[in-house]
Amino acid sequence: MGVPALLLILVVAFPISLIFVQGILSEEGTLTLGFLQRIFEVRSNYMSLMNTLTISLLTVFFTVLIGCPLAWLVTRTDMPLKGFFKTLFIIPYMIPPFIGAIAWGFLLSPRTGFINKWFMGLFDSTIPLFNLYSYWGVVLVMSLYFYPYVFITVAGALERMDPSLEEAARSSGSGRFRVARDITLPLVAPSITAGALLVFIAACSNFGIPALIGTEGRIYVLTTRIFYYIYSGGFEGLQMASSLSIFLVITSALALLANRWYLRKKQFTIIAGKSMRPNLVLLGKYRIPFFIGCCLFIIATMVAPLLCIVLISLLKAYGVAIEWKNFTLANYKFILFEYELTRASIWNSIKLSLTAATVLTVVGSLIAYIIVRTKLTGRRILEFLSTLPYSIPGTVLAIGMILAFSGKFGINLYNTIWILLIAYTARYMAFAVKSVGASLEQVHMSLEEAARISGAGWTKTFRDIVVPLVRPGLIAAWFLGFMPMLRELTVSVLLFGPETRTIGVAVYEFQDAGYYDSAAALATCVLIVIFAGNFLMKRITGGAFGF
Amino acid sequence: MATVRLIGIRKEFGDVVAVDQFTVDIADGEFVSFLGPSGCGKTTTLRMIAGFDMPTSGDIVIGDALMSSVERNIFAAPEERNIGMVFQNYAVWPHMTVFDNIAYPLKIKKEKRNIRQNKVEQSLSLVGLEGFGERYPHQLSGGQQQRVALARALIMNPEVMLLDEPLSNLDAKLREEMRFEIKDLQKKTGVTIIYVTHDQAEAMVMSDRIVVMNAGYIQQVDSPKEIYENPANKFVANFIGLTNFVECEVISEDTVLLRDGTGSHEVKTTIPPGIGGKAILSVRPEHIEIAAEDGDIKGVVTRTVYLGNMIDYRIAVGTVELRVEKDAEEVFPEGSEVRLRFKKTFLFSM
Repeated sequence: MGVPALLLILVVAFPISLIFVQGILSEEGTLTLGFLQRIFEVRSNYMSLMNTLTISLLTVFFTVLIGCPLAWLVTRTDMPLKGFFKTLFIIPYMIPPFIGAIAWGFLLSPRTGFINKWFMGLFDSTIPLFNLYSYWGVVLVMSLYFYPYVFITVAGALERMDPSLEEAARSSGSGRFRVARDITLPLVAPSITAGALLVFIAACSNFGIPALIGTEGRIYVLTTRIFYYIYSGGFEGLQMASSLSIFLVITSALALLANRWYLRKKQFTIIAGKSMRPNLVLLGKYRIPFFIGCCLFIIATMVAPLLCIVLISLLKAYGVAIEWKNFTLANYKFILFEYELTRASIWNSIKLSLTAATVLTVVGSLIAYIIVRTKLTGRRILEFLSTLPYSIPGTVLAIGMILAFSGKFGINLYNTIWILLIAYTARYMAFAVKSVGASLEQVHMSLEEAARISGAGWTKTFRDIVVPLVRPGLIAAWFLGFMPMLRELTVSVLLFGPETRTIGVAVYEFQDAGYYDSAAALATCVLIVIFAGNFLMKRITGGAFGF
Repeated sequence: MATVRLIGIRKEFGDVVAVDQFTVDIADGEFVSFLGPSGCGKTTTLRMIAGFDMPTSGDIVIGDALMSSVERNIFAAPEERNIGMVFQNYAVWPHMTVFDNIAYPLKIKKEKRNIRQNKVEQSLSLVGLEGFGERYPHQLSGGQQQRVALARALIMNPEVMLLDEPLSNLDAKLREEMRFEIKDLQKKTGVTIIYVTHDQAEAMVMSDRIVVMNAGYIQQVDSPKEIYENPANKFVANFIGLTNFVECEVISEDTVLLRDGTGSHEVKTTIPPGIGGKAILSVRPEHIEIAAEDGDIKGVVTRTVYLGNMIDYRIAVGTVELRVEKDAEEVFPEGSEVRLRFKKTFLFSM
């Protein structure tokens, strides 16, 4: 208990509380409400707060609009191939949003995007069909990459809902649509809001999409504004960044509280215990149109952008015609073998992810064991601290790390790989605690007690009984940490130094500087690793984890 | 209230035939149970009556109305059938209060608020839940939730009530209590009830008639007494109550020969038409008389179990083992030689 607790206090509680201290202290060390002033007096700060709120709310609106019907289609209708679609609709969840942003840039950037070029050529126009580098562009890309949150939670609820609840209403005399309104919708509502909350927090905290799409169109949100201040440097910049961070935390915390308040009376379970025969809606003559609609959605939102990235990574130069003679593997050769900077960043990311994933699996399992299996006082605090770094925006965590570990308190890790290691481990600790905890809860206490009765001590029991039984959870914990860390951007972009670039940062810098072909090649490599990793995780855990 | 007629119902799920050749006439106000092991097609049949599943062929008539007919392309939706249904897991809506749950069918019928209020109050007292109206389902016990489900099914004055293993999630004591309550409710309301269960005691206690089902087919339709005393076939004899099966051979028009591995015994029994040669003799444990000297068949007591009101014996007759139940007045210890006589037997084909 003592060691993990101290560790969490040092790398989580301490840095995060420093942000608040920094926000309310003046340079002379007196208490102020300066952080409020700094937001509301600087117009661009205030605008970025408003943009964060409105963009996130619009994203929530559109993700609910997309996610709910798709969830209904794959769980409650007789649409062909719905099991296959169910997997496909989750794919955007695996793709890093900043890579999605790059892909959509290739399709819809105002002058060079494929779709816009095609449109302008077709109608001999100089006005693009859709300018991605705008307010609505950010909303579009966010909606397309965050709707799986709503889709997953709502599809889960629709699948688990006891069908007899709806059948009872039919027997009571209400028709199909009345049942949907009186029974199904109210019962699924908590899942919709849960999904919407996840989207809201993801949208507020996202850095990649607003950085690559918004910045180009001079649309700033809190995360990109914080990035700007850290780059401008100095005490002033750090103070501004901390103040904006406070608002970022408050925004997501308010959303969380609003959801709690909404759910306060809805403490019901809709999960049935017995095997279920869900009531399938027969689509009849609409069966094929819906099927075609889903295919088109997949092609437009997943196949086209991903294909675009792969295509551009294979071209001799960005913008040349797509012909056989222009195809080359030179971009891959360049980033993987020739360019020292990308080679170093790939090596850094691999080193960091391997180490951090291993550390968080070990520490996370210990914490999970304490939370699930013991009655120690303070274990709830442990749980809270271990999940906190993932519940707050990555940007905020990074600011906390800078404040805590850049020499002010005797430890200077700034610009070293250690600060990234600590930040990564803290950030993804929640995954390990959750997945190992879930596996542990499946293992009945009596199995451990039986080992103790047979004469095994605590450590022997842990090694011989607990570890083998929670193996899928341990493997998942490692992968769930390793894969997002390998392509992490939000935290890395604020913490990397000249010697400690990561893959995410390298892709971002390529794209930002206009080296689209190199960005595309590196992004393609990342995507391949992600899909392979997910496949591997699913195989090793026997389908218990992964998509 | 209404009659229910099921005529030649067949239901296929893909390649699997769940129910076939199902024909039963249920009288107005009758209490009929569908009884059988899990997977016998009883719930499927119930769901077809309710309108949740469509028969592959056959007709369903409730009262004067043809509800479902594949041949005539008629299929009434569940909400058009005026059927009350009680589900195994209660299906009480968790987001509504007890009052709202019970009032829901009236709301659909657009009954006036004060009428709704009165009717719900009445039915709450009918199922013994006065004062529970404002509670939410999660504040109720399983038994109370089941009462809410019953009240909700009854409030619309249904012509027929369908109950799908409504008591299987309750504990033993409550289950016994609820049996009588459901029977009482039926007497008060006069509603026709179709009751699905795999618990023979439940079916015996409540039903006017029992439809015994196995593997999608009806085995027997009769009163509980008839089914116990005159089982139509081997399956029914085995499924309802306890019985011993012994292989035998028909040797004359009223006698079978029973071989036990060491010797053979002649037993008089009624031989149903169409049975000859090898057959199965069924004899219930309580229909075997056991005595020290008086009897036709010799056996050895191999095990005795004291059950309070009686003793459960295992008796070896050659290589055949018979189960015998007898009151505890006279005890035959394990290892003692006894003589047996069959008081009542049935003969089934192999």
